[in-house]
Amino acid sequence: MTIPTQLVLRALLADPAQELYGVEIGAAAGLPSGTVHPILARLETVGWLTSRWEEIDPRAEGRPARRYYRLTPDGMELARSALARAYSATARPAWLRPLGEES
Amino acid sequence: MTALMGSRGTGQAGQPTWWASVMVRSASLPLPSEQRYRYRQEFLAELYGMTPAEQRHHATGVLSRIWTLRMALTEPERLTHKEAAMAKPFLCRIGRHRWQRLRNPEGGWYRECRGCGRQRDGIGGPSSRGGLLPPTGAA
Repeated sequence: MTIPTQLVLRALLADPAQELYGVEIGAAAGLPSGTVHPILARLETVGWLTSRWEEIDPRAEGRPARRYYRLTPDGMELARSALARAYSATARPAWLRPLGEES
Repeated sequence: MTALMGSRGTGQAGQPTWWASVMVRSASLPLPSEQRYRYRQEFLAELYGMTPAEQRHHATGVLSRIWTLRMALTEPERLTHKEAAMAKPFLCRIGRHRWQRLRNPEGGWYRECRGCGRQRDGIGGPSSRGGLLPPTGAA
């Protein structure tokens, strides 16, 4: 798992109940604009994330609806275990890792 | 970005500049037709509440990574490898690692790059590898 993907997952796991839109996720993850959407698209494709349009009246709010993302229950579990694996893999020298374990 | 974060849900968001709108609208053109409208709306909505400088930065970022997004939508498996290569800091990609000394659980030393996490065992040659275990081929 790449470092930007880990940062996005950490940002979403910080408060799994909260929905965030792309720019908020980028700000929380410390990633530049444009980097987040490909990661979100890929995580959504594999079912770790779900997204929905914000339910607002654009005229009343003075802006269009945003697209909000959140982790699915399965995605939450998988993200936690993937981050734990990534952490343990980088915390140990390569030759101390069990065979077949990847970061 | 902080202005945007603070404006969430307040309805006080600023309007995007025309050139930022044009940039993100253009950025969505290479996307698959079934996804294009969604991302165009998403990128436009994100511009609201940003200062012009933030809009320029955001629109440029979106535009520069639009082919990566297209790849994520059309070939998610291919992206994984490309993204992994691009995630490595530039200095690491050209072999300029920033090594730090760390101890392993057996008390020996090894070196790890602060940027990409690449590891090297032993410091200063074989004589200083006292605490290191030999590589475990089939643990």
